[in-house]
Amino acid sequence: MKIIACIKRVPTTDLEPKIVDGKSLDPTGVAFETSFYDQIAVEAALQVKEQHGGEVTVLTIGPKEAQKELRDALAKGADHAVLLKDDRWMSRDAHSTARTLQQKIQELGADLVLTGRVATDRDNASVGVMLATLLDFACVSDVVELEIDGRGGKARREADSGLESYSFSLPAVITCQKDLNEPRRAGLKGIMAAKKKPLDESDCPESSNQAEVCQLDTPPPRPQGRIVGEGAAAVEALIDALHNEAKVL
Amino acid sequence: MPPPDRRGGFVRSLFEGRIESEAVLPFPLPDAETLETIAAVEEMVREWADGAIDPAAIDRDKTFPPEVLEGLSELGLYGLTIPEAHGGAGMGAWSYAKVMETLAHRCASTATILGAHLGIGLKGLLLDGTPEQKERWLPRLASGELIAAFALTEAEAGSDAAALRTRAEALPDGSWKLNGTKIWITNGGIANCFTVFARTPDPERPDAPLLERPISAFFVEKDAGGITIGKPEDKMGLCGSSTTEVAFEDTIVASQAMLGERGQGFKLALRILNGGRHGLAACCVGQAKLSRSGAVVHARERVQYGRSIGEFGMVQEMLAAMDADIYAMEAGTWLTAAMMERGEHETMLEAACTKMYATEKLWSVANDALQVTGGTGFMREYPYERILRDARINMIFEGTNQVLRMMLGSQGLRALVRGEARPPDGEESLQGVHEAFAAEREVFDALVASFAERCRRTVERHGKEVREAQFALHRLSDMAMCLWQIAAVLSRVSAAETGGQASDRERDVARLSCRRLEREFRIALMDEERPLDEWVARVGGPTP
Ligand SMILES: Cc1cc2nc3c(=O)[nH]c(=O)nc-3n(C[C@H](O)[C@H](O)[C@H](O)COP(=O)(O)OP(=O)(O)OC[C@H]3O[C@@H](n4cnc5c(N)ncnc54)[C@H](O)[C@@H]3O)c2cc1C
Repeated sequence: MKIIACIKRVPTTDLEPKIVDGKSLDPTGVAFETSFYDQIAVEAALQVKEQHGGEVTVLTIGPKEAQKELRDALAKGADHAVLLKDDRWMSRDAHSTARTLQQKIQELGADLVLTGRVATDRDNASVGVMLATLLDFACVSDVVELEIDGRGGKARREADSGLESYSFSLPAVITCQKDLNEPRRAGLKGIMAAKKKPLDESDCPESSNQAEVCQLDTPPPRPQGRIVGEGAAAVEALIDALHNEAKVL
Repeated sequence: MPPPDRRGGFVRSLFEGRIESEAVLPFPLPDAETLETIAAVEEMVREWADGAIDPAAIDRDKTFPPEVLEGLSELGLYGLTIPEAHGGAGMGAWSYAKVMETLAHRCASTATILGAHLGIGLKGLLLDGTPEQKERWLPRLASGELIAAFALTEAEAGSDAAALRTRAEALPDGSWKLNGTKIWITNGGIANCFTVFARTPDPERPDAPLLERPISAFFVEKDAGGITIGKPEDKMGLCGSSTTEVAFEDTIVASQAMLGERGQGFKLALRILNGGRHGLAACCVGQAKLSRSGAVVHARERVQYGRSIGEFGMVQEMLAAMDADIYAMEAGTWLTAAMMERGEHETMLEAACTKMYATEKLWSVANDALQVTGGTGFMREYPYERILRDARINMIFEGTNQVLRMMLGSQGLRALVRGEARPPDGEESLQGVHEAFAAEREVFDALVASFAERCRRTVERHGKEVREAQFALHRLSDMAMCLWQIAAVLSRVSAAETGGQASDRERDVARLSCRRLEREFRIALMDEERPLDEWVARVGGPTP
């Protein structure tokens, strides 16, 4: 089985963002990692490979430094890595990202494509489903349980109304939700082995955004908390404040 | 590991007034690919350690959780420096230092367990093991199936380890029978194999008294029989690391258990210890950074007299000293590790300087961190007092800092004593320092000249007896340590300048670091020029 996991290099979530030129993130001093949900996609890919055999390729669009995130996936057990180099990867729109991934995936060939539910930097939750549409693959999003058999599989997804169960045919795109699995840790052996695994690097084909970010603002600062009193004596004031000021009761 | 080609040695040549710049400049950084791999390893260790290790619980419960030992094994860390051919990861001195730093940043006990295994416990096999011995033990040591310990110290043989009394008798079939008791053995309670040092009969003098017999090294598995592990020592710090007595009573090991040549065991012990000191220094770096980061936050957040205490000059002095000293600790540790990895220059004296400096500065950094955090720091709820307790042992084990000063001083002066010194032809200068640090380089050059002058006079005055002239050895070794550290700082900051990564803050920290080291040097120099030795000897000497 040919399995592809798409991952994105994103700023770590503890980052306090600084904005430059009104619409981009200041990259100085920022630490990066594989987006949380994409780590789950990689783990799901490795588990499918362990059960059914095959090969796992990790694919990313990103700067040269994204080799680090790819090597991490290789260290965990992926077989190949593909880097489409684009220094402006963080300002791509979902459509141009999905389009570029689609072209590469068609070239590589895939039975199963796994992505995170959402990338933790832009929070769009669009690339995975757009990719399925462009590839004309079956798609189940926000998956919390996944089972693959020879030709297709079963998946459960979390919907607002409850848990939905699907059966789908391959090829498919699955976007992964957090409860799907617990990503493994790469060990020293894996890190050493990853050095010898193939990592193909090429320039990302030109593509233009259909939607551009024209302004970026940090969220308004949260107002300072206020201590209304101490011990039992404070209960009344607290209830009053929750009722009349915060209006949550 | 390539054998060191014993070219001069940077610190050794300072004693004669020569500055062998090419040993330390430009900073002998490993190649980019190695650095990338090491960064990945560091991150793996940090992520795991932060989630899996609870240093406060380990300290409080005085036991080490088996899950953490298993974690070390799952990550493959027991095989970090074991060659790939024997099931390890084959990494060098630089990676070892980075892993030790990262682990110690989380928990000193955990770092000590791994350090005792890799740095000293199994190092003898790596250095002197035969291919058969390596094949037999290294794969199991790499997987963590075997955990190693280093058993040298005895009740009567501490600093003077060569006074050990454990004996190995040759049996007719070629095997050996061991008898004796080792004390304070790190990993004693968890290890299942030991590098043991014992006296073997001298074939030329079969009747020689025990203490005149040569020392040999053995690699002994615990199931050899006759080995009793004492109860865990109740210690001031490193409470999670097991320290016990290990007693051998008629323990029989095959002839293949002997490590290296018969009679060369003590030399092997010294080579093991010399090769591991940078790892201990790296632990100090990790713990110092941990102390510092907490103190910095506290200084920002704690308000007194209506201001955060970090606005007060005396608090700033402590924080700045921490940064400057940590910068130098890192520089010395990394430079030693990088030089060991290259294997082109001697590193014995460099590693000794690095261990002395790092262990002493960790103590002052941890102490200042506790001062900045005030009463909060004194509370067990916070890590500061634990760090201080854990830090104390570093100045004692793997060679006390006094013993290292003795070694550094007497080794450094050896060529002068023997009349083999090669003083420089003209003025010496540290070549390759970035021009932004020309002023600091000039200071360094001048300090080297006055140091060499003091060394020459000391040898003139004491001759061969200089080994016993401890007051002078202390001062000269302090000076040598400061010079080594300044060179390391200049090498590090020059690399940052050349690579375009130096920030204004780094420049400030590096300058402060050089200045503090110069001051320490000058204190020793003042004592050297106006010694109080007679008074010290009268006041501190044995009372009748
Ligand atoms: C927690 C812990 C773990 C240890 N782990 C191990 C281990 O794994 N394996 C092992 O073999 N050993 C181990 N040791 C032993 C350790 O290496 C020794 O404690 C150390 O070498 C010092 O010996 P000592 O304690 O007997 O001190 P001593 O040698 O008695 O020294 C006492 C003091 O006298 C000073 N002194 C001694 N001789 C001189 C001299 N000639 N000139 C100037 N000053 C001198 C020392 O610097 C020190 O300040 C461990 C010790 C501890 C506490």
